[in-house]
Amino acid sequence: MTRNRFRRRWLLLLPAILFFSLSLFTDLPPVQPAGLRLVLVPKYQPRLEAILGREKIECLQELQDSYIMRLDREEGLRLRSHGLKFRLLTVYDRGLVYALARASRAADLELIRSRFRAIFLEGNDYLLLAREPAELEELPVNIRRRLLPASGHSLAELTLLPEEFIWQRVQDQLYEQLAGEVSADNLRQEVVNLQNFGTRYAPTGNCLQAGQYIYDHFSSLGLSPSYQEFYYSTYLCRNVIAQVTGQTYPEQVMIICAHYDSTSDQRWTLAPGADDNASGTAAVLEAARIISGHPLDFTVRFILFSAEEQGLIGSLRYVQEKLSPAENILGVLNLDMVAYADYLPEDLDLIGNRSSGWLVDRLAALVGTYGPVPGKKIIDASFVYSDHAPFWDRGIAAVCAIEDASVPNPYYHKTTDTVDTLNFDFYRAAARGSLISLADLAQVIRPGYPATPRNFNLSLSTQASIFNHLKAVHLNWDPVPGAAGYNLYRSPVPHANFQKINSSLIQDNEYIDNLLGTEAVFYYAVTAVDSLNRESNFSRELAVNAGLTPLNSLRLLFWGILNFFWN
Amino acid sequence: MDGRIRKMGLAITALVMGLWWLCGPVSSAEAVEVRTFFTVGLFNFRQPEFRELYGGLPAFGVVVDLFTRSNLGLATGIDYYQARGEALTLEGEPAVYPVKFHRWTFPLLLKYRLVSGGFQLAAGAGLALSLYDETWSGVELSYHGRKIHFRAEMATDVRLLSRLYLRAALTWDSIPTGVSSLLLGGGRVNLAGLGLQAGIGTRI
Repeated sequence: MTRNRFRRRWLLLLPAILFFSLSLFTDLPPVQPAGLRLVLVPKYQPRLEAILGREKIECLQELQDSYIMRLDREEGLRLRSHGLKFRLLTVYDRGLVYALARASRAADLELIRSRFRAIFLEGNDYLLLAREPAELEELPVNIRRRLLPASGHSLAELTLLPEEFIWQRVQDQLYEQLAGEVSADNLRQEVVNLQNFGTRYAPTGNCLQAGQYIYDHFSSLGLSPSYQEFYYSTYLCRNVIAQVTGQTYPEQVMIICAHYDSTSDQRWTLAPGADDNASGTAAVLEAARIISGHPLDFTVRFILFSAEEQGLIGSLRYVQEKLSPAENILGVLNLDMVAYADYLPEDLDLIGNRSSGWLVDRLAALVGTYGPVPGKKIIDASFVYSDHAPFWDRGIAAVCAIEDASVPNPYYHKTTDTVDTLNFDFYRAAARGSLISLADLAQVIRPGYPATPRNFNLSLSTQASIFNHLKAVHLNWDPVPGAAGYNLYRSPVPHANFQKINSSLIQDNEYIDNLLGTEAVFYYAVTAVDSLNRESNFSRELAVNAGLTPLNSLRLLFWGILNFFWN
Repeated sequence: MDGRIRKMGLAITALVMGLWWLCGPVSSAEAVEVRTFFTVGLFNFRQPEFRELYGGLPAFGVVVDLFTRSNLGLATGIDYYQARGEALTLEGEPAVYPVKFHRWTFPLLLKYRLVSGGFQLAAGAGLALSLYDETWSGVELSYHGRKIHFRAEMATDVRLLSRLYLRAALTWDSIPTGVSSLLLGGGRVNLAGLGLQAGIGTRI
């Protein structure tokens, strides 16, 4: 009996001894480092953004209902340990090119699947895998696409804003006057001029000539344009950049942009691209013509991108190479197809992501008043198929203005996309609305009004006792000649919902605001007011993180009684 | 919350049982000695930040001690602490904000004494209810809280006349409020500290 048990024990031990001996004498391959994977993380999971922020996991691409992320095995396990759900898309290979594409029709999807490995993301969006960017040229021209960003951004940086905003001063005579300067004839002429290049397909010499034409146009307005050169495959491409520098806060920058390249099924020879996107380009040129004649508080930058049709390459290169940390990009208005209307009144779709909500709201108000054209507010983070998307990737508020997408232009990416198919009533209204949006956000300086206070600065001081603390915001600015006083505005959200905090005019050029509320972050701006009660534009906006704890204002009944007797 | 209520329930039960145990053997007035004192003194926070803010807190008290022949007893009374100071500047430009702090404490302690002629040494521990209040001047900032907490005490009485006594007492309070404070870098506030009080009293 004992001997049997002994044998059984040996039988069990034998495989282990064998395995151990083999592992000693066999040259086993080294352990491979854990691979990276692309995963799809659904939004609206409890504490998702906080966990991702804490774990320092970056988002490659935000979609409407999910995030695309690149995780190693360790990060994946950590997310799972927090109870977060995600779907594995594919193992990430740095040698491949990843692109997002929108296939709205079954036939498009079939075509995509016949040529690429396509992974479903959400809605009509797919992740495509290619060996090189040029392979994406095989996609049918009517399919919107963009390259998946190679690097991510932290979600903690995203600002989540309310859906309702309060704005001041939308009706304005100066704006009416500026809007009146928009000329339908100019717009038509510019579209014709751009169309006359035959094709503006980015790899062609014609597109370079179109870029030169835009450059010369900016020069003729007295601006100092520049090129941003880059290569798509072996083809030279050029973004054209010009700006009107702000007089009060030049580091505050508002961007209006469009892509000037085009495509069609005969793209090497004929791609007139009147609506897509000579319309946006001409609207930017017209805005430059009008705005350049007026002084502004903030800088306006006009950018006309190339190689958008190749997957937003021009705008990607711009945000990679040209964004300066010394600048604060207030917002980006991207005009992409703003001249086709199947019937009037046509909507102008204003598409933003969550953190661009304030800009969408503001633009909708302005285009509705000064177009006038109904601005349809759309928050859709999945709409990443135009030049606003690379700005979204950097957490910059950006809006794509596009004609009503529910009724697509039947000439889209065709050789028939010509000037005679455009509706110039709608187009002019869209251009007027865009111009006034730009004038409003960059703050055109009103003649006769007090100057905008310069050098608006703040510092924070904190006083504390055992149970309470007080954050005092010390605000100061340069005195404005002729000002009778100043108004100070505060908001719990950036760019909107400002409320005046002084009951009467502030006489000094400084103010101390004691923060007793519960909000964590406050935004401030100051204006000057003259003796005729005319108010200047807002200064630049400054933020302060107060990080206050709620006040305890409950008095105990017992304490109240005792206090009464004591007193 | 359940835990807190349970703890309070346990404390009250223990108190009632203690009272019953004490009062049980008392069958006549001679079995009980009652002493009453009026005291003044200083309370010092254990937390250096609080000391920097308020310094020592002047304290005023009324104490009633009740002892049986077995030298076991109960002590109760009212203590009042108050101080004024200026809020501390943690960052940025200094600014002056006067602040006031008050605390009322109602202790109930179980004590034991040693008596030798006109000298008595007593020590005890128990629970106290404290109500505290901090108010800023110039801005609408205030805080009011309450806590049942632990208190320990050691007191010495010296007889001056037949019914007149002099007392010196040392008390230790631990008052974990559960509230976080920026002054402590977000740490929880404990109003713990040591009080030294002296007073005069009489035997009833």
